[in-house]
Amino acid sequence: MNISLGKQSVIVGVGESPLGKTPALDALSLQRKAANSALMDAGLELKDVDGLITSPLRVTNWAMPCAMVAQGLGLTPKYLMTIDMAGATGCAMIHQAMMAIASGQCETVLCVAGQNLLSFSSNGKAIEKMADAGWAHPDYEAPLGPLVPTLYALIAQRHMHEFGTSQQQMAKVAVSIRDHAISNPLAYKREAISVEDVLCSKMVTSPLKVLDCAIITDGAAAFIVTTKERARDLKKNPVDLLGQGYGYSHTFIGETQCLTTTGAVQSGRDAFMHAQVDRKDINVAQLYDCFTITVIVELEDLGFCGKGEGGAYVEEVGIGLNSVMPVTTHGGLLSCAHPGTAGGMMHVIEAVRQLRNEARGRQVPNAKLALVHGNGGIIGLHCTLILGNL
Amino acid sequence: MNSKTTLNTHLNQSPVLSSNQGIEKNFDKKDNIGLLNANDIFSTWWQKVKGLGFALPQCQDCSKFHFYPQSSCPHCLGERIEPGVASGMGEIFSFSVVYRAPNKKFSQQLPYVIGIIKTQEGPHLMARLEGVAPDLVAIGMKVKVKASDQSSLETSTEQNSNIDLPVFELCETDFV
Repeated sequence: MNISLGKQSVIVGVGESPLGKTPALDALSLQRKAANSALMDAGLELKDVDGLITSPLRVTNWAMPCAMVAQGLGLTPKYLMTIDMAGATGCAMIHQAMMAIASGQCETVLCVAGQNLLSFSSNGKAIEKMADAGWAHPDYEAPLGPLVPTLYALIAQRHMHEFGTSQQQMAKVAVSIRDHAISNPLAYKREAISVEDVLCSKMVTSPLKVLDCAIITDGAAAFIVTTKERARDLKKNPVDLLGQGYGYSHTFIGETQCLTTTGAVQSGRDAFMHAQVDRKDINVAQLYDCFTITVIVELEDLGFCGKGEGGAYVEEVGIGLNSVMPVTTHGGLLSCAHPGTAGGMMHVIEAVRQLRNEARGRQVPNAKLALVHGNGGIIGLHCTLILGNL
Repeated sequence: MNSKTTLNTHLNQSPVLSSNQGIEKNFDKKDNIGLLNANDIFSTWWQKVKGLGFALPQCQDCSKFHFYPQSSCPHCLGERIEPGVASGMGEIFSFSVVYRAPNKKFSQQLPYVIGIIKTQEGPHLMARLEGVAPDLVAIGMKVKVKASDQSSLETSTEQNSNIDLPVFELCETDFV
């Protein structure tokens, strides 16, 4: 059965807080700024919002994140929900908002998340906390001393072993995505880097080097989803959700029997089935890029190349702005911002901007179809969206 | 998770879920980025099987082994899980040499090798690899668990010296 949620609701506004290091702003302040930015983009006000979706923080424990955010924004919504798909949260929020609207529960949903991940203590402290936060099994993995990057390094090492993927190919991912960040005034890291720079950057956990890893920043992101009818009066072209898919393979990397094929196979297959479009029709892909290897695995599992060919794809076809399908054009988690779940929301925001022809120096010409992929945990949890401006 | 307090707490308590303890641990550090606190029921696996050699959780219904320890069999959902003595043999399925420690207690050990071991019985398990030079370690190398009296978490975290976690070392001869 294929019920097209996109027939009933659309994305009408996107926005973010200042990104990078914003020590004066706590999580709620960042989220308020992102929400206001998305509402202004849509031409709506807070009083128009009757649905709220948010996601838990990592810097502190809020017992009821959706209640905390409702209070912080002064909302009394008719629908509110907290969802946590980790890095896949941003994609899932769009689908969940559209389901809430399709069920008649509310008309205009604000999706917002973000936190001061960098400024709540320090970069080193954040790395320490993340290593102990449950991404590695707290009893059987964390006591061994892995960083979060170590868990992805195990994937990268296996991918290199099975398919001959090289560190140069991974470095090319970092370089292309940094090039995109240079064209994005909001991005935190905007100094040009070369493949050589990536290969010579400090080894963190072999084979991953500092520049193979996402940055840690402050920031919040927001989008507004409303009915097609309501969207007619709004100032910008709405963006449609054409298809979505979810996928899951494992929670902890130590338990899984396969390190190199992921739940993105299923999420991608479902998204394309719902959207009824071909992979070659996708003009721009916002792929989750917590590490360089993640992008290579996603290119394969989403079907843009064969299994094991992701490294060669990056090298030969390319993922830069001049390639057939530019990838992660805002600069992603590697170079733009990574404040936690809001990091994956920014891939959605960028897809919307590309489809509205608002991406300025990094605009992909004539972008009509965008794929967004979010990956949560240690490549175990996935959500794929296909968005269109048709 | 605060490793020190959480892991030591596990040693001193019976392996029964205490929701009160869970809540206290959750809030004992205000800047904790906690997603998941240590699982009170099964964190004591290696304590539980001490003296049995290298034992993995084995389902009494379908006979299959699994890891990490769970309350039901991931293969058949059977709930009768008992320690099953395993060979302790396996091979390196993947590995990473860690050059930057997540916190101070690991920094003296740098660099150290974390591997995913494919056990002869099937389950994968993350473990420290010892006795192999970081630049010589490779996927496919045969490994075996170190005798339990030689291996313990003290090799990996000095503050939790009384917890055993299996450590693997290279196996000199291949096995079938």
